[in-house]
Amino acid sequence: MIKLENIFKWYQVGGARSFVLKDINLHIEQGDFVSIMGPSGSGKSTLLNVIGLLDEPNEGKYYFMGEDVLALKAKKRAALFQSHMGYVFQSYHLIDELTVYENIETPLIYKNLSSKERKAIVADMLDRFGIVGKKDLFPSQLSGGQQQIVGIARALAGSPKLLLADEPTGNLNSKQGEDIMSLFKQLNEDGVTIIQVTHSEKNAEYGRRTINMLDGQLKDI
Amino acid sequence: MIKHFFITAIRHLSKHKIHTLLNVWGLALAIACCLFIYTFIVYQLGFDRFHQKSDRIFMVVQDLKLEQLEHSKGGSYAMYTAIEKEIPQVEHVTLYMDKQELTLKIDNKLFKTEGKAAFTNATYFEILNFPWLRGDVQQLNEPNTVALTKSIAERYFGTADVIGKTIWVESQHPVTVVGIIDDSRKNSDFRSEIYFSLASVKGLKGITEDSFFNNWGYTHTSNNILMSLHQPNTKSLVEKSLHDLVAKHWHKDVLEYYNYKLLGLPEFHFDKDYGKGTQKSLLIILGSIGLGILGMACVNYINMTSAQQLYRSTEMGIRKALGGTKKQLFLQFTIETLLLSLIALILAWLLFFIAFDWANKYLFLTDPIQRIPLGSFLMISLLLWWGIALLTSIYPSLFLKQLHIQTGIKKLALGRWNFTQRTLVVLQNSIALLLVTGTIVIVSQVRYLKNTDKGFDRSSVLIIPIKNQMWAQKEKVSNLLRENPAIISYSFCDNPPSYDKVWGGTVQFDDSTEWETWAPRFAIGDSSYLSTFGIHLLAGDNFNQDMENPQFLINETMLHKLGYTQAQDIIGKNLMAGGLNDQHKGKIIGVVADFSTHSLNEAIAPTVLGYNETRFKNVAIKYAGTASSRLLNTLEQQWKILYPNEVFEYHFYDEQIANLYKKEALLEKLIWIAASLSIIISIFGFLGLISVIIAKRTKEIGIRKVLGSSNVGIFQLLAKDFIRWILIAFLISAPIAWYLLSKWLEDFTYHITLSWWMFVLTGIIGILTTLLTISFQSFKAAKTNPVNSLRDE
Ligand SMILES: Nc1ncnc2c1ncn2[C@@H]1O[C@H](COP(=O)(O)OP(=O)(O)OP(=O)(O)O)[C@@H](O)[C@H]1O
Ligand SMILES: [Mg+2]
Repeated sequence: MIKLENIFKWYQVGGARSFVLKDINLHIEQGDFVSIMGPSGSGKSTLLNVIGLLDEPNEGKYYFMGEDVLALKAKKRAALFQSHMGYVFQSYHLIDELTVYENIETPLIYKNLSSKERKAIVADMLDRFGIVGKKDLFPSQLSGGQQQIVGIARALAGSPKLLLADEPTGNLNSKQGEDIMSLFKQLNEDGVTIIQVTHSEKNAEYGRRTINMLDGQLKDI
Repeated sequence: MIKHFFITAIRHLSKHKIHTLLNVWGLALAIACCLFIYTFIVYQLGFDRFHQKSDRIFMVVQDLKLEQLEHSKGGSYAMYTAIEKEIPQVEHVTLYMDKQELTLKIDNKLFKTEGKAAFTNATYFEILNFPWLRGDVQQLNEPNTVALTKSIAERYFGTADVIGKTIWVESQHPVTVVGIIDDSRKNSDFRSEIYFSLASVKGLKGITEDSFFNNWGYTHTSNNILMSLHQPNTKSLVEKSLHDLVAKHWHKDVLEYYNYKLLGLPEFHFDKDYGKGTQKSLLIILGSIGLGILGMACVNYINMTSAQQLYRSTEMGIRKALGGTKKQLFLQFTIETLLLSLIALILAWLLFFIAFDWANKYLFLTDPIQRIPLGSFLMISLLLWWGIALLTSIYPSLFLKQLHIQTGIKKLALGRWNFTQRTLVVLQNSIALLLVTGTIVIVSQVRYLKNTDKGFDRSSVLIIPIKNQMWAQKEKVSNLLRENPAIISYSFCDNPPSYDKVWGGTVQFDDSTEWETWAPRFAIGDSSYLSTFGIHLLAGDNFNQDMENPQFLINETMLHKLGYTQAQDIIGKNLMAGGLNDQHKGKIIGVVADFSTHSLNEAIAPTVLGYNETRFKNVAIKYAGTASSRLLNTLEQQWKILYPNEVFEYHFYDEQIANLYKKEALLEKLIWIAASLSIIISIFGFLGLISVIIAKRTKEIGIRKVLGSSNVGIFQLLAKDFIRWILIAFLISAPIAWYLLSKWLEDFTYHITLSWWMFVLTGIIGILTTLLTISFQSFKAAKTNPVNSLRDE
């Protein structure tokens, strides 16, 4: 599903290149559940962003379902993202002015779905994550765990084939973290490919395999 | 999708209440101001353009060819009849004698016509479009008939249903109301409220001589000859025919002195020489001010939106990460802008209607403006709405273009206050300060015009108009004025100094039999003229009241114009003053110090003072100190006995002089309002900015306080930027203001000089308002316990 070839990413820091990703080669099959681990600053988030099309590498090739993503026009890329990927943030990043319901609905609006279709999907999501009773609340009225669940529901609303999560449990207590992880496992069993960044060995174990990063490079397992 | 955007927009606007309020009110004020100015401009530009034939309606004007051309309008009855009979290119022609002062008696109540009466015939209504609501226009060709506008009929009779009723003119002549006229259109300079038939002019005006009807020279500026041509391009042909008629019926020598022209009726309102002289530049200035103020409000909006970037970049980053395209995000901003400016527009309508009624009552007084048709009002509103939305969308669209998802989410896009925004704030305040300096200078100049007496004394003088019919009782009036101890001096006269209508005519000086090629102005009164108006006699004696052996005084300018430097040398010389005394040659008996006969918009001209009782129109009364109200009471009672059929009318002389500067006074008030509005809007801007800046720097302020900074220190920290902006704005505005205002002042014959204090005052006003504006929030921020602001972490 995902094939990265010789990916380089650097920042220009005072005349010198500071490499964040160095010659990354990675293959991820459909249905996989990958955990990325590594010390802080090793480039995990950057890698995830490159995969999630939120960031561009400076060099290298990226094939997503056989398509040369970096060669695509911005519009095509956005379309690809909309139809295949969902993103879960560490600090949830819900939109403060929107209710739970509307937050989940937002990506569907951008996909130009009709209001009937949106209603059905959002209702389904609310139901699935057990937050029907919270649908009219605003993010500030929810606990961190609840917010992250809404974040996940929002990411899944577009029924993505690939779910990207950057430290999804980073701001949660361990009980909440476990709930999210078992949810991920369930999703993966239902056929969603998942890539998560995590600092916790325990969370990594929910995945099918773990990739270690050090100084922008992948370490063999 | 749109619904979603609406919900977000409304939530967003209500979340940032202060900003929304400031933006909405700022925009509303600016829009209302634009609507108002637009209405004013459209009204002014529309003068006499609504007549169906407006492009082929003309009036007769003429130039008297002296050293300087003397311009005038109007003509004689004889000219009017000749044009009607003998120039085939003329479709219709009428004599429209406006500004008539008559006393009407209706149901035993007396009314002055206050210049709202006219004599004309049915043809007038063929040329101009003032539709008749009732009655038959043709009846206005009959003697002793009158047509009234609906408004005046209602004022006189309480109803517009008055066809067939009788009005007594001067309590002697009964005339019958034959028509009611629609007066919903007010922007015409050729409009009256009371139209007497031209056929009754002889009786009603008490015209005894036939020369009024036959003599070509019997001209008067209010005897307007209005005509419509079959073809507008035959104008010069008709002008030529007019000259031919003058040569044929009057005298061909007349053409050596006079040049006749046709002036297009719609041009009259702006024409400086013959017409009202409304300044187009005033309209341009107003238009620019309106746009400037609108620009200021937009700057506020842009600044506040961009300052909200603080909160919004994250939101936009997330939205992008959720798959929102640039177009969709932009649409969201646009909807927000449209919504906000729509609210502002609706508020602006409210403000506009309030301001409109207020302005007609207190600002325009006797020349109320009219609303523009609803259609064009909505059009311009729509245009403003979209214009604002467009202008204020520029920033968000730039912002979105630059926004990267990553930087957005990480709040890296905040940046610092960038160059453009600072420039906008400075620019905005430059406009405000420019208007402040403008106000200071214009107010000073208008004060100066209104209050400066050049060579005479206006204080404690009353002017009472006296009509033709009233002269019979002149001796009695004279007696009772002489006996009143509160009266120091009184003078029967035509024109007091600083008057709007001043006669003039050429003279033969000394033994010459040639008329001079220039025409001095006349000050016509009796021999108390000097003492009543405090005019200084420099040499010689006061003039007598003998029309057989006239004596004249001249002013210094006239002395010099005649080539003399010493007053002694000219005393005793002969003077024939055409128009002042056409029968007898007189003698110059003295020289007075220069005094202004006109408004200060004209330089003091060579002036001859003399006696001619047929020209007298007023009696001017100089009274002792503060006795005016008791004196007025007494005079009114005495008047009622002397003139039972007259309304007692009087003017305070200083008010009458102030009335000469109506145009300037209007400009003064308008600039006041504009400057206040601009200051309010920039205050709004600063209020918005300071709240954003404080929000951004809360943590910094907390840390500084923990480190030992005082409240004043924090205030200084926050105020520093604002003071810097205001100072830069001041430096930009000062030279521009200096340039524009000295240009403006140059147009005045007598004007103040720009001086440093006007600019210093502007600066002080700017800095004080700024400090006051930001002080409340700044001190609040400085005083908060740092623990509160740091605990969030
Ligand atoms: N705009 C930037 N300019 C320069 N360097 C940057 C920039 N953004 C990120 N970096 C660097 O890139 C490196 C990788 O960052 P990244 O966020 O991917 O690390 P990470 O592995 O996710 O760390 P953490 O576990 O702390 O989240 C870091 O060393 C960081 O300093
Ligand atoms: Mg990271």
